[in-house]
Amino acid sequence: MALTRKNLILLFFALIFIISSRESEAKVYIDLSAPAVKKLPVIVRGFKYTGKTPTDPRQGQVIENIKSELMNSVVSDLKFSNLFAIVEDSRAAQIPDVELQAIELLGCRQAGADLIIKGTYSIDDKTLVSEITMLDCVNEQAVMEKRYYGSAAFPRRLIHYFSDQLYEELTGKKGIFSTRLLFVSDRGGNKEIYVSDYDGRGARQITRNKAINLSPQWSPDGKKMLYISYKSGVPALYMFDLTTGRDAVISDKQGLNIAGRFSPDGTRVALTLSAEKSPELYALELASRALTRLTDNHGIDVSPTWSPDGARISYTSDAAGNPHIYVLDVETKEAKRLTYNGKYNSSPAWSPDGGLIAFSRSDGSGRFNIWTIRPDGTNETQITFEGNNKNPSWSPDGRFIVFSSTRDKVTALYVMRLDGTGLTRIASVVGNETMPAWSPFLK
Amino acid sequence: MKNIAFKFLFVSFALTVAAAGCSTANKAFKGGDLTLIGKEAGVDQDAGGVQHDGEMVPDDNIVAEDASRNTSGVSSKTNAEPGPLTQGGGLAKKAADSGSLYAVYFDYDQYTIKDEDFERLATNAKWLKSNAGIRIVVEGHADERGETEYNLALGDRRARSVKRFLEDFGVHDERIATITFGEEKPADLSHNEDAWSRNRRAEFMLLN
Repeated sequence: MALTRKNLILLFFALIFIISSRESEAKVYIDLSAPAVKKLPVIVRGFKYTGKTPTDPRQGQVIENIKSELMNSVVSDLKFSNLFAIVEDSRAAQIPDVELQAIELLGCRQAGADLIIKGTYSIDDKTLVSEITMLDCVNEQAVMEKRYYGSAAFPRRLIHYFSDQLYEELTGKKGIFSTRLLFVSDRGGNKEIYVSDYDGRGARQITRNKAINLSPQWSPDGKKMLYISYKSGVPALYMFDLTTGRDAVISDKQGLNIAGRFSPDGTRVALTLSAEKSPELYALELASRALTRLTDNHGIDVSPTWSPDGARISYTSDAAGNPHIYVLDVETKEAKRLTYNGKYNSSPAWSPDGGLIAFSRSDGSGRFNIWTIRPDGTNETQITFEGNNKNPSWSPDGRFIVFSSTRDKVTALYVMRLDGTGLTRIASVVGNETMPAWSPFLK
Repeated sequence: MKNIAFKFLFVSFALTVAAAGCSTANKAFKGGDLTLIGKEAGVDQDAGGVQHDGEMVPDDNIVAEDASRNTSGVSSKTNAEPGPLTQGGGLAKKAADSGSLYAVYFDYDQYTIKDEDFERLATNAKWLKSNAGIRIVVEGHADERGETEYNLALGDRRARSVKRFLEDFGVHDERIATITFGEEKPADLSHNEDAWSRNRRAEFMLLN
């Protein structure tokens, strides 16, 4: 156990490393509020298997598959974040993975990169153990080095978890890589509700009733889902517990029981009913089942979205003839019209910071585009220009919008940043995918 | 083993330095993180299975619907009427197929009965009055050029317009149920004006 010369040298470096790192305590690598974020050049090295050598060739295949899943998801998360430029320089591939980090870091700088991300992994029964390191090649320090234990069946979840931490380390803001999407897909022949990772991968079917299922919505804690289903023969509003599988009828009155949305505190559901009057908005208190009518006109009032403080609701109404976006005060029920342009304005979605409402607008052709507007009715901004785009939903950090878009015949889900850049069609299998709902941050 | 020895030393140093001055919490790139890093790495080699030294990635715990289980109703009673008529459930049949009641059509985003459909609906009403035992469901539909939830509401309004019309012609309220399918069950799957005009409709289904 005697100290070798090499270890003494490393020890010396470690000490400098610790001291210098104290000076850069508040370092934020990426300032998201800066007008043009400079991308950090990063080298992503593969994942090295450090477990037992497999005796069974099938096990060997599993190990290889996990390796590529880990690598692919790191790369796709980094790309999605738009904060990194992945250096795929041939010199990067030549950098030796040696214990003496100084050499590795020098090689990194020579390849033009600021950071190296690398990892090891092993599999212990059904547990995937992965240690992921991020090295700052310029300041010569480990920025992150953590070991993660996850399910070997879902290597991507482990990486998404890592990506969230990485993102937070670098920007000081929460990452959205472990968030999920709920959406409607007809890939099985009828419209059922599915859940997937934020990037559309790992999609799994939730409803299995072979009827029409629509409008999935997350509860604020991410544990429940409101949805419309025709499974009893008529359309009713249900609440499904995503972790226990318990399913409950929320409203099954004569006529409409649609457009259910949890209030931000989760105690109420805004919804559209038509049993008593024309389709009006109501607030249903979940504990007492007390119903309060929020709108009163002869038109259709539908698709509510709560302001983050729960004081206001934006919705679609045709009270003025065509569908337009309105905002009402939940307490006073006073409504204000927000949009005057376009022939058909629908599906408003209030941004997480409260500053914007995204919605879809058509000029009457039946083709929609995504727009945003401030809740005071100012600053209307068009953000999509191609295809037929509907049902915007915000990422919980407010940096992205997911929406459905019909381009090339099928309807698929797309994600973009608020200025319309970074448009990405997210993974889909077959069929049409509609009505996406981005989850809150999940615990 | 040399490596372990080093790492243990690394840990001790890190702990010492951290304890000496750095007590800031939870911000990027601090001494605090390094102690954690050192500690994790130190335990790594020999302690196999000491899971608390790393981080547990939460399991994917989302479950699927058990379609065989009954939905536990929280409302006091089921108000929904009628029952088993959707998805080809055997009880209802399309009235037009038996030559009794004919569909009516609507303009884009409208739910008022068109003048040209008055006569047709009046004929439907007459047929219903002379077949007093028959109950019907009016299905309201929309074309695809709108938003899903708005179209459900539009289909509801269309079905109710027709129901009200029939009631005005003397058909008893209780014989007429309504249901909306919004844009979910187009009569014509094409994506053009002709198809859309055929899809903006109210159809009649016969019960019993």
